[in-house]
Amino acid sequence: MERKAELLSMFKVTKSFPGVLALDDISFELRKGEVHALVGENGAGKSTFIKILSGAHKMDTGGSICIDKKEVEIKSPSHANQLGIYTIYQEVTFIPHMSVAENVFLGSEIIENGLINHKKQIEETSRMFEEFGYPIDPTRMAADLNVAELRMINIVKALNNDVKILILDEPTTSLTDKEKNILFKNIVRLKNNGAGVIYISHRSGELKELADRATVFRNGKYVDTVEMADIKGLDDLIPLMIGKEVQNKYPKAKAPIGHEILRINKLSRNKFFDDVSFNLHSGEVVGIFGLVGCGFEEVLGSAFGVDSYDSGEVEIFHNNKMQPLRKSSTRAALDNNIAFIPRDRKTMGLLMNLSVAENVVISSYKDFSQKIVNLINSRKVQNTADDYKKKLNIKTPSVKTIVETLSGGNQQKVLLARALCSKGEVFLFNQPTAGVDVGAKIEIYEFMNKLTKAGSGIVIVSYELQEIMGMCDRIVVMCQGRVVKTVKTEETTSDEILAYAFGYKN
Amino acid sequence: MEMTQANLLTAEDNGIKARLKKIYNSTGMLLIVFVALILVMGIINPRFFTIGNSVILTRQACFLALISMGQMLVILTGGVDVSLGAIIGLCSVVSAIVAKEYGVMAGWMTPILIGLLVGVFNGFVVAIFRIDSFAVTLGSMSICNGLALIISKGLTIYNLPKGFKDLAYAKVLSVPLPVIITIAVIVLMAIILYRMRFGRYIYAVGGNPEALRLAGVNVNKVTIGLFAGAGLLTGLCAAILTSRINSGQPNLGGSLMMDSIAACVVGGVTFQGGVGKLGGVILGALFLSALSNGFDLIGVSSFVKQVIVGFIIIIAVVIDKMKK
Ligand SMILES: Nc1ncnc2c1ncn2[C@@H]1O[C@H](COP(=O)(O)OP(=O)(O)OP(=O)(O)O)[C@@H](O)[C@H]1O
Ligand SMILES: [Mg+2]
Repeated sequence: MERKAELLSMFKVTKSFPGVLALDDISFELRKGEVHALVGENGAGKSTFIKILSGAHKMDTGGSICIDKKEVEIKSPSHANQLGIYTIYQEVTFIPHMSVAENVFLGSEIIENGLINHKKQIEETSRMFEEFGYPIDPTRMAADLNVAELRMINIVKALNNDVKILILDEPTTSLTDKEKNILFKNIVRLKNNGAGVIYISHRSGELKELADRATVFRNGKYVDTVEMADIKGLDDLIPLMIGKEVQNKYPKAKAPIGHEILRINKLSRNKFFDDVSFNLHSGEVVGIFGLVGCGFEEVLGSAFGVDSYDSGEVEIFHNNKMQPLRKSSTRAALDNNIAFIPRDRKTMGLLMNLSVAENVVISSYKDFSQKIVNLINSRKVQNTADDYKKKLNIKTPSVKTIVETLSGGNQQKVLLARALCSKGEVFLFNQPTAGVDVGAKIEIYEFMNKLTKAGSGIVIVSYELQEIMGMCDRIVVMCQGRVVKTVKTEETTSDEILAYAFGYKN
Repeated sequence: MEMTQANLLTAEDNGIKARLKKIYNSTGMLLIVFVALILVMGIINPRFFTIGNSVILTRQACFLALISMGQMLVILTGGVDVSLGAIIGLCSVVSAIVAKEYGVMAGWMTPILIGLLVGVFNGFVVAIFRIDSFAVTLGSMSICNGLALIISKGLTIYNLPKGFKDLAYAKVLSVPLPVIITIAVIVLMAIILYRMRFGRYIYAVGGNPEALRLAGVNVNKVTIGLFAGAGLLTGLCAAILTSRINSGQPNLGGSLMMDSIAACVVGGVTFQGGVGKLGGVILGALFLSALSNGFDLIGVSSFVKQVIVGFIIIIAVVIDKMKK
């Protein structure tokens, strides 16, 4: 096989933040027409690395970047764009109260006689999404879209340019196979046109499908670059990434199933879900699976009281019998020992400007206060947070660090620590391992085993079917707002679950 | 054939309904309350409806509309500019002095320039040092206030050249000049806010500044620009106000700054940023002016008036919120 021409090379790239050396002397090379995967643990420096390339961060002095063998200094995001570098960031970026079309053309508006031509922008947007294979109404407000649609906006926006280098940072988070396949088709098209693609992901399946080479980072350092053709699968790289072998990616330990602890009874919410019923027993893990927009995330939100619902009931085991739970009150849910991980860690979950420790204990401050004057016992807070930092391997200089500066996966772990810290009996997890690396995922699964062993029950909503199949005792499949199937995991197959989720079977 | 006809009919029906709904959505309850208010005022005191009064009313509304549009730019980004009232006072005394020294035209133009400069200063500090706009403009409020008092020695400046008051009193085709100027500014603002990049970026800064930066836009420039715009509009307002009272007054701003915030809030501009329509703000300014004028006419004391206006502002905002 002939070697493709070199497109980008980066030498001795270093980046330090106060107290953290995020990138340490990294060299990297990208060829024309290749998809180059970037893998490594949470906090390894992947996002920081691509942000230097995209102009969002400046690297420390001493490194150099060459494109087409010419040295360049990337000054800003718009400068990166001029050089043909376009980036889809790990966290979706959008302006909530603007239309899809305006979001797509933000920064590159269609101007005629000094004025924006909105009509043309709308037509163009329509055409772009049409070509991309994911039609969407360009006049809809971004605030009304779901995460998958927002991601697609970010992607289409980037592709609407003369792209030389495309960077994607965990682009398939909260996408299902349908959207993922559309995305991959477009990436392959771009690659065949000679562009270079840098692709960050923690999902080995998709990397195998897409990547030509993979580079491993660990603790801000370069470890190795391998041809994907030379290895069996990405799992071969796991030892390089985390420094140890992994036996089983889904270490499910069955716990004895006890009495009922949660009952969702004919729950309906207009426009989102209809007549949803399922239950959860002590010691059990129930997974809900479906496609983007099937309503399962909303069911979880309504059960916890983040949102309201129109009819039906949520019942919880309390004082030795099932009792209705007060509607739309997160306080009531917490008081009844329900713990929750929300959908979007950035906007719904974490208090970005507070420290790791505060984020961990925020919903269980009561347990950290004195009885009489309610003063917070900060020593206890600190110790508990330190404990979780160790157990979940949260990579942060200290638990006093502001959460915003943590890497995406480590932020997710903080969110998880909060849920674990509130002494729950019922755990409602919305995509608990979103953006979490292989090693940490296993830690989280082990933690779930501990919870069920102690008699708690867990509901997981996830777009990753493997995770659902691997960790759940029972699976509830939703399609277009309705429950279409409830089945024991050992009595079904992935294909059957998918068939129900797509609505081929009911 | 029948099908298409039916479709057309419903389409048309939808058109009118949709348009009404659109008006309702964009201006909210405000329009309804506004119309009701005018009717009530008119019934209690028919003088409210006279041509004389409507001229007074529109002229008052012009000042508030100009400064509110400036305030709107800042609130759209999630900030607030509390220096606008003080800018008016500073502009006014300088305008009077310059008019005496260098003539009428210079007297009209200088306040606009001063407003612009203070605005650029505000925007610069907010953008470059990433300081909260409230803190920065609180500082400039004090600076402008102090400067106005120093320059005027705390006194009103009289005896301005003849013709200085034309800016406020001249009429074109029997329409007062300030009204024409304000309408021109409104049209210009509408074009900038909805059809020009700068305007859209102002909304974007309020919605998600990081997304804007990553889209390759220089957010600092936008920030400086919008504060400059707020200052400029305030300077213009000051020029006309000074011309209207035909004297330079260090405290001319009065309650205009607070009123400008009220007009924005009542008009549906939210403090989270990124949301708010020009039409709403204009209507808000009209509404507050009409309220004040109407209460004067029916003889409600200005103390009572304050209380009622306060309640109306809160009610308007609550209703707007409940609608969503
Ligand atoms: N703005 C910042 N200030 C301080 N530290 C930062 C900042 N951004 C990143 N870091 C630190 O740099 C390190 C690398 O983070 P980065 O986001 O690049 O990791 P990552 O490989 O993308 O991880 P993940 O898989 O979790 O997304 C982390 O330890 C993080 O805490
Ligand atoms: Mg990352």
